[in-house]
Amino acid sequence: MKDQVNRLPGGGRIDRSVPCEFLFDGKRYQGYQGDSLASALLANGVHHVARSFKYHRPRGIYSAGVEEPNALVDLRSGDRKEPNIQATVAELYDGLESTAQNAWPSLAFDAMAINGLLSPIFAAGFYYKTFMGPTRKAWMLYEHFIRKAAGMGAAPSGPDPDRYEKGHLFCDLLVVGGGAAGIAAAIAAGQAGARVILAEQDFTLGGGLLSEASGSPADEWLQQQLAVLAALPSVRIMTRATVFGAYDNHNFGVLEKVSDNRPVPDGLQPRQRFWYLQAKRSIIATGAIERPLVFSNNDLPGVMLASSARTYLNRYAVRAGTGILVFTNNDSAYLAARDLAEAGAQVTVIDARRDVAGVLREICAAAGIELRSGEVVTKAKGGRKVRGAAVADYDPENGHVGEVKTLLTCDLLLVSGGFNPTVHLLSQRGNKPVWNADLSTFTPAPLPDGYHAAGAVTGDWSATHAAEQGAREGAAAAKALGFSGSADVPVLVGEPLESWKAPLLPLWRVKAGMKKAFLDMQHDVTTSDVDLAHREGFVSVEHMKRYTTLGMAADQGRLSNVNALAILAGLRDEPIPEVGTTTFRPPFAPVTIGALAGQETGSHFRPIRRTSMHDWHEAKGARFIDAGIWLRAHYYPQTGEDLDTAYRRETEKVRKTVGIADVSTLGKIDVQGPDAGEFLNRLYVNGFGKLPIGKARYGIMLRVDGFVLDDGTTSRLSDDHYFMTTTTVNAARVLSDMEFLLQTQWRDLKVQVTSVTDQWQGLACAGPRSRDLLAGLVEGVDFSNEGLPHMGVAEGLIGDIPVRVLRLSFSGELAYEVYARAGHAEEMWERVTAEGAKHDAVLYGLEALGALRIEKGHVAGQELDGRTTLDDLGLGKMASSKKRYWGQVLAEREGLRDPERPKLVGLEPVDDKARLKAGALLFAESAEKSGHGEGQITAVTYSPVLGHYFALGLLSRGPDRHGEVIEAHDPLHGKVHKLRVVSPHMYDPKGEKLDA
Amino acid sequence: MPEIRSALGATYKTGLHGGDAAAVTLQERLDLDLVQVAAWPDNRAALAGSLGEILGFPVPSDTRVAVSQGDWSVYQIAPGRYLVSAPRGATLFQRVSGAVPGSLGTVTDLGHARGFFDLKGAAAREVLARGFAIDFEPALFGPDAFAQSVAHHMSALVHRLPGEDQAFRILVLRTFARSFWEWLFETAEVFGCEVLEAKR
Repeated sequence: MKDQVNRLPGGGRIDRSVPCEFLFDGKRYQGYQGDSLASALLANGVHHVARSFKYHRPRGIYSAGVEEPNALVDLRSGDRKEPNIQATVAELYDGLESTAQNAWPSLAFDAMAINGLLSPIFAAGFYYKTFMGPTRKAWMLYEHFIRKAAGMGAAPSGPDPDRYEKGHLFCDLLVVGGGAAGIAAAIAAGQAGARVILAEQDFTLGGGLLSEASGSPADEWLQQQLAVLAALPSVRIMTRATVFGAYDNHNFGVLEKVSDNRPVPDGLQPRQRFWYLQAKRSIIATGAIERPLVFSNNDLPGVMLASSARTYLNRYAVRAGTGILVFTNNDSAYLAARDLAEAGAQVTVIDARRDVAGVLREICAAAGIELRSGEVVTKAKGGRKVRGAAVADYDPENGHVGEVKTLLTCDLLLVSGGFNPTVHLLSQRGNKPVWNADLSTFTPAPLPDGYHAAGAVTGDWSATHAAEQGAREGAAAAKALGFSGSADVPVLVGEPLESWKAPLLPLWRVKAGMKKAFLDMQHDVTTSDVDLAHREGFVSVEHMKRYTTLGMAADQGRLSNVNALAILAGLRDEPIPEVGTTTFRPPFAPVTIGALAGQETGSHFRPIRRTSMHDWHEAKGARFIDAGIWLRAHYYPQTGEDLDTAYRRETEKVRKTVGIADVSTLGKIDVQGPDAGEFLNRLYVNGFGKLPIGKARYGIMLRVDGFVLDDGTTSRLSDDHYFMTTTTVNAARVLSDMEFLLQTQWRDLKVQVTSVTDQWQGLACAGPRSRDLLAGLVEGVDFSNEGLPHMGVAEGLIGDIPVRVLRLSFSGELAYEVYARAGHAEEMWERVTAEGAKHDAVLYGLEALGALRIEKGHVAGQELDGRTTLDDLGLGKMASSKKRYWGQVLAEREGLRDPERPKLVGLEPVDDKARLKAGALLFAESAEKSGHGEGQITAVTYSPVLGHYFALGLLSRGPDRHGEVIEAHDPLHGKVHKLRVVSPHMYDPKGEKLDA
Repeated sequence: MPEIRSALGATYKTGLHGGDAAAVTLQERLDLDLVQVAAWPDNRAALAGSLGEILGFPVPSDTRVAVSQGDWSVYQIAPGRYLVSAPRGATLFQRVSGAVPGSLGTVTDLGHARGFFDLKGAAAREVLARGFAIDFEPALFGPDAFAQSVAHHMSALVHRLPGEDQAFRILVLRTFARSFWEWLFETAEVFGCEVLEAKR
């Protein structure tokens, strides 16, 4: 294990009592709790940590935060591996495993670095221009190789072993950002009485204050305010929580990294949690991010933002270099220069400005810093690490860069081009930031209603001001929310230098040197790519972004956008505000898809509805099938049986003896009221006005547009009380339509409708022996044809279980439906199936249910597909001519009366061995098999009665074509079968079995 | 009367789960009955009066706050439409249907149509927050407050029981009950939960 060569002996906010061993690219290192992976690597002297996206150039650690474009690594291993993690935000823990990505065979020697030599042809637009032909499918070939050559880390292929959660949060005030401004705002609002959530993406509060030396006045303020915050019960502090999206009505998306600071989540804890957060107001205190300076080879490992080097020094006690060049165009970098010099580094400041304030010169003199004003770095020197820089004179008046006058050596090259406020969340709300010429950056426009901003995001870099502004905005937000309590936030004494004395010198790129000068390091976009985009006509900032891919990916252009559009403005010879900026959209930082899914994975992907008899079916080895969100018994295989053999056996047995099936999923609706009969009479196409008590009737209802909606039976239980069943799939729709009609169209009717699908669970008992079975079990019901005729309804007892018995048939056999209350239904089922054993009964599932109804020619969901009319289904005669019913008017439309419409038919294969497939298209014999044909097969079964397959279908003029031989074309399987058109009512067409 | 079986089957595992201490308790309430009482639009006041007389306490005028007395609760789930829950021994349906004439409204037995789950304990609000998009802050969702909402894509009525700060009752359609329970249990388990014997 290597020593932590760059770790200072004291200081920092790391916990030296908790060492953390970690692996990077197969080598073992040590850091401390409180480190980021990046700070720990730097502590160990590791600068080169990655290869770039396109050119595979060596890359190092460029920043200390969420803006990091280069130091992307694979974190963890196996199925927990997560690619493209910024080492700067990865919290170090003992046992952390990380590897470099996008490098082969090794990080030090990457074969694909040859791309760098070919870079002249890999400029922006290369793919668009090169991989367009020769055929339209050629891209599929190229893509494989391109993705191997260029890219980032690869996701693991196995399922993620960790849990994810999502949840909901509510508050009066959301404060985004836990720096000086956010802390002060949360205290002010919390002390006033508001319910506050303070969200900070880091694992600790402090923001920019964490980069101040421990023990400094700013640090003391931070410690005091953290204690105040902790004592405020109305403030919820959320660390490791990134507010990644701001949406309508003060809804926010928050990603909480619950367990990313450990190799495996503790116990049942999720790895990450996605929160929907709803606030009434919000304070955006997201700070600012330092802007790079752009020059040749500015992407070498060892080139770093000046403020980040200061963060590494003061927060992590890591001095990232000993011979340091600081290249700046503003005052702020002098803080880093001073602190690093005081920490023992040899520091030289290269300031593009000729006029450097006296106070800065004094600092340099006191700290032994060499100051070179009016000069710029034209080129960084080095290979896998910066070794020096070429320096030339700079004329601020005309931007002229002189000849290289000297080569300075260094092991760290810091850059500071000013700061950009982190305006992303406000931009997401449509708040287009405005150009601030004094600061040479974009600051927020007047804020959307309910939004406040405080701190550096407003363009004021002073921590003292941030605390004042935060306290002021926090109090104002609380007042606007109706809280009048007083607040007291003490003054923060910040660094004297943080308020700039001298103006920043805008410097968007140093036009010198022949090497690549990178704007967007994550996507390898250079200044010459922007030049090219402009030359090729992509002069809009949005077009330039898409042509070059600048500003995309994990860092979302935090470092590159402003420099790039300033360069574009220069190329267009227009002021920067005229060129504008791109719009930031959610998410601010990458969000794991797993967190968005939360617990909705695997068996929880969606809810499952189960009948009361589910466990019984399972215990008997039933195979289940999804029917909508219901899980239904599909078939009950005996030893060695597959679906085919099982359902054929079940179907045959029902016809011969008796079968028992779970029909609990049918929709069941309680219809009550003095006008219930009239309501049903208007709803169904057939008459219901005179349905006697104790009788059921089959009914069909239409949609308002005249197509068939659903069918089912309705039983009259008493004068004003009816019990309706619907198909499983249409239950909710039918109830909804009934409510709609009662509330809007037929308010004259006194009717209440209530779903009782969950109250009543039922079974079908069908077959010649069904009467014998039930008569021996159900007390209080006369099962004779006189006592309980076809479509009769009765109530009785099975043991002590009250049951409702309906004599009706879906199979064509003598059959009953028996319903019990849901909590009793499984016991009812047990008793009926036990009794069934005496009658050689068979259990049958959904497949056999379908087979029986197809043999009988009953329509079901496959035919009631929302496109069929009563006449299409052969049910036109059911429609009453003596009354009006819902859907009647539009059912008369010409198109719905067209005699050419496909109508219900039965279909038998000419070849008995042919296996038909539902969905096959129907054509006249020998007709060309193109287009949609004359109809289609809707449902198919093997018919034990016939000894071959039998189908129902919809065929143009079908009822007139009985006897005709047609062809079914199954384009999916490439088969054509000859079929004979027959009546759909193949089994027992006279209905004699019903009373058998 | 026959035993009422739970919809949860073997997924209901009594005991301590997810840690050494329970931040919440969960209990299925098989002992609770449910009816729906619905007034005709022109008889809402009369029905409310009659129902109050039958129950012995006034029914709620609010559609967001229930009225509870012990294990009796009345929820107005729509104008003039009430859900009444009570211990099964009270023979609720017979009692109410016998006293609400058809001229005032209808009574529907829903005694088997819902799963009832009680969630109590220090982390109860946190558990609910994982599924419900409802602000359960005590000042906003006070004693006897209820909401008909959705958790984990399933409809549910969630009711804050009076008398305790973090005690909630959740009513879920019976055919969804197992799916809902699986979500509720797995969510509660993270905090440490004790599943109590189902109350019959």
